Amino acid sequence: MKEKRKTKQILCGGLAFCGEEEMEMLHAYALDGWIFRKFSGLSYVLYKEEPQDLIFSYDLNKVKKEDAQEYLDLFAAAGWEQITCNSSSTWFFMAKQGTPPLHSDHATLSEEYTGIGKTAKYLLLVLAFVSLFSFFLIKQAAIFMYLCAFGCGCIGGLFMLLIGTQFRKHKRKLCITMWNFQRSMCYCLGSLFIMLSMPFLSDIVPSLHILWRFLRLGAWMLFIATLFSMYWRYPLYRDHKEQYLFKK
Amino acid sequence: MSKQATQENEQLTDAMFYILLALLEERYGYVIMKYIEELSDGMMQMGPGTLYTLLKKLTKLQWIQQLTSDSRTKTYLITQEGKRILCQEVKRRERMVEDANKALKKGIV
Repeated sequence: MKEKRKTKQILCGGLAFCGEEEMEMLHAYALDGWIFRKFSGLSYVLYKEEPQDLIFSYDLNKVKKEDAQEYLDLFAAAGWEQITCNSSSTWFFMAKQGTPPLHSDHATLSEEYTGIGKTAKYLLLVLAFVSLFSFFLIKQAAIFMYLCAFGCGCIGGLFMLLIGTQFRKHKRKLCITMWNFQRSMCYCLGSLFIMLSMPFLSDIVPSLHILWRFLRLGAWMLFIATLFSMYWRYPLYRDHKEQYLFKK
Repeated sequence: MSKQATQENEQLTDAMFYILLALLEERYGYVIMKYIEELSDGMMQMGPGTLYTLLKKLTKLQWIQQLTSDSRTKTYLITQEGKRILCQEVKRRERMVEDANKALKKGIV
């Protein structure tokens, strides 16, 4: 009978903001026997094995399928083994302690972050347009108020991302290492807010009551899912490795 | 602005300079890294991430070209344009060293 290995999942805080700290955290985990073997898109998946002195790093190059073999061969020859990740623009690697780093030239490294910046700027423009449009139509229907608020919220988030990438270009870092717990709290409160505002929305625009029903159901599900994930992840937050990360 | 002018305005960093030197002969991937390390007596250690990004960038600028001799290993070689840029850069750096020597001869108390 095949024994299922023990795993641990840690939410990624955003490579543009705290990538280096998280790589150091993964190194500390590896020394303790928790090896980072897979990236699930949102979180690092660690497997319980023998403690090893491994260091981790990542590269944000967009690599086309035909160039992938060349790309990976180059890293493998330099001592960096690829870690499973389903993305063609983010790549994770692990190596033994003492292997020379992935990037030796800062100018080229900062260029990789400009890619994210471009997408963010484009999105920002679209959202700004939507928010402005909704702002002028607030008196027409309440939905526009919510659209405007949502748009502004997204703009705020994207703005932070842009600032973060700009800081990266100039060798500094914008550290917004939020506790995973705090982030879950935000999602929780957010969905609660949506749920509580449902009655008001259905009063103002009664013709769309089916839509509000679906939204309410969705918000409930999000609320319960967040509560569950907070309960499930709480032991991780107390893990002294993550506390080590924030003591710095 | 003509394409030529934009290419010349491109800053030639130390890393790019060494890659051009390494590609005066046909080489590929890891061999380039090893050659640069040996050439600079260990002073210039190129990371794979940097190397890959710069190889793509230099190919786009047409200062190097990709030769597909084998389906698996992709080799690169410097182009005529690349050689011209390299010579220009070597002369520029030589001038800088000469200027520095002139200034330093005048003395630092």
